[in-house]
Amino acid sequence: MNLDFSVEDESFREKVREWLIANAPTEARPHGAAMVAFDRAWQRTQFEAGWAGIAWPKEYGGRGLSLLQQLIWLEEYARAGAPPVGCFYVAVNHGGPTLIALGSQEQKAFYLPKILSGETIWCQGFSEPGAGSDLANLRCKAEIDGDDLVVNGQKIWTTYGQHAKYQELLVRTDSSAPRHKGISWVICDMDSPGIDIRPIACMDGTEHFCEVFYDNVRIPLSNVVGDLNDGWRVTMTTLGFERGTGLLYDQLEMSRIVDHLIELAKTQPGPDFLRPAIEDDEIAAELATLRAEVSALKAMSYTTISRAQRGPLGAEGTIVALYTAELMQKVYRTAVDLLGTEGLVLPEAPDSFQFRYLNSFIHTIGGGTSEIRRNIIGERVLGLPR
Amino acid sequence: MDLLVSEEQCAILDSFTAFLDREFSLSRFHLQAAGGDVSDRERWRAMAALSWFGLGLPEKCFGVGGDLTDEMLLFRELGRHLVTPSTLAVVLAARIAAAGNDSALVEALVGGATQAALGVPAGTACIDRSVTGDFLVMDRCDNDVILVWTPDKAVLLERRSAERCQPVTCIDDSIVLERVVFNNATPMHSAAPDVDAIHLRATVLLSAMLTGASEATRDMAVAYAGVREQFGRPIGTFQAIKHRCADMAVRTEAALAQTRYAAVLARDQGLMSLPHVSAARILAYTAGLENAAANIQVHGAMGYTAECHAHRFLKRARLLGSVGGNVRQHQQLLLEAASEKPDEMK
Repeated sequence: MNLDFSVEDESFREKVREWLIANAPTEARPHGAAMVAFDRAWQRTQFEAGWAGIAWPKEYGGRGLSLLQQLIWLEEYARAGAPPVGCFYVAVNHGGPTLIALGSQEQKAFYLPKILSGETIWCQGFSEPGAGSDLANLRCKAEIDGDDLVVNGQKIWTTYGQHAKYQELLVRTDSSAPRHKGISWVICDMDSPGIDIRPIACMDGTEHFCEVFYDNVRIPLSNVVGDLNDGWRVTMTTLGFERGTGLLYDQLEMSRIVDHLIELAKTQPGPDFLRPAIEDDEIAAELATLRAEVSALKAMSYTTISRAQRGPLGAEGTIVALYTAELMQKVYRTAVDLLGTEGLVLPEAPDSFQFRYLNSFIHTIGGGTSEIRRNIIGERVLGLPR
Repeated sequence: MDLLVSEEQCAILDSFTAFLDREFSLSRFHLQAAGGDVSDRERWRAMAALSWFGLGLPEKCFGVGGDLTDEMLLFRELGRHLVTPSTLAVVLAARIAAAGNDSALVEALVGGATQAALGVPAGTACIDRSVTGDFLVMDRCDNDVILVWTPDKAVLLERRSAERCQPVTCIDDSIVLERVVFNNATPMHSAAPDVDAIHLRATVLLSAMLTGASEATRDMAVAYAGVREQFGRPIGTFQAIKHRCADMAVRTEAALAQTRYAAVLARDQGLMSLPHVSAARILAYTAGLENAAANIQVHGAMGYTAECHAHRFLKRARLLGSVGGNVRQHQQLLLEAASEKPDEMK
């Protein structure tokens, strides 16, 4: 058992650190109109220096980094205060890798280069009003007409749908088949006629995701990834790319924030308005516990990566995902508690604790609710009966 | 970078587990209560013969030259099987004796001729060149040395240097508990914190015991929920039970990952690892105690009986949680360490 990195990896770390310190944006990621330009510019900067697609194979324009080097990149990335991935997350981490694994040669040649360069944003068209946790219940329908699929239906919670060029769209192409078997995964051009995108106002003040309506939208059959009616398998591939590095950014960010909160508590007045907050026993206990828990998060990531080095990961990653989501909520709640009445004021700066607190409620809902995650842990990790 | 056990360590661990499953199965508690089996202490020689007490000591100190991660893995298994906490006392005592160049005592401790017991200050105590105060000593034997360890100090005391020893009933009936008073007693040996980082090692090993116990209760609850049926189905199919078990798994995973991480850092970086070691201690106690409580709950009324082993894990978690500093002290260590790092927020 060791925490050692090779000489090559250590010199890689130095190279990465130097580049990130010199090139990562120092201003906070904006919301609203300026957000897309910000994300695009940073993606472009990484692409031009050869740092886009760190986990993509080199033959598709990526860096092809080993797991440990991906870990190093992400640690240095968080240390440099580089911005969260933002609008390019789905393209770089879901769409691209899915095409690499299961796309046709033509699909790879057409779509992949435009992802790493920051030219095309992708979104995910999975959830529907009647199909959230129960994704297989989706009803958005696609009928074959000549060389096209004709799509009718509705998606919801489509993150950055209003900014995306392409969508990973799950449609039902065979209504007579069992639920999981009649689904297809298709690439949808969001500029197609018949698509109506309606952003949804969120509790954190942003319009983070959208409803998307499809009225006789024509999508070429050549946009199906994998086989027709094989979309559930493709989806499991899309959602299964986690190698233990996916949450590192959030985890390291949490560590930084908890350290900052401990410093803040030394000067911030406590609940009695007389002593600093750190001298309130309950606040001190809470901050210490948070510090222990963020340490454990990093240790759990390292453990997951150690497992990934031995073979494909099972469902244990769900434990870390759940822990991360709930810890993020606790950290930001503590932050806002510490601010006292200032916690009621929403600052203009986009990155405030007040914003992050409101934003944090999505973490136990999106990408797998904490209830579903506990079911998965109980059934697939512990082997409890369904 | 690899936080999992190597193949070599795995093979050694398997031999430990085989021995523990055979000699320290939980059914021994039933037999002990009925007077029909030996206490853990009477299996002492067998454990000594396996070189467990010198696992982390160099060969010149009668040990086998393993490192802190090897010891951590052993103590995880000892915790899982509810083996007496005196195993922790003897391993630490041997280390303190070795640092004090007392090779006769080291040999006696490692070989099993002299045993050791953990002593916990029951309130304020003076632990220095002389020791004065009230203590609780756990699971003692007649020829024990007593190990007292706090975050600041660790000392070895001869039993006969105590002014008074009075047995009391422990909430854990498998452990003999004593009130012991020392009055200006001179320790046999003291650990200098900078010389052998006893507190770091001891906390890692204690965390491992608590974590192993938390794994045992998780597994016990899951096994029960898979077979106990009500309303025509295993109770593990009900979400409330399933989620309670999932929470046990989460606690254990966090405690285990952090304990592994802390063990490696403590081995390689010594005193700099203190915040990580304190973090492990806090998470391990939470996992040990909360999982024990949840395990009782999952077992329903059965979990409340003396015959069901669930209660033993709860009581043992409380005992272990009182050793080597309480939660508040470890929280304080964590907060102090944080303040030494420069603020990196932009």
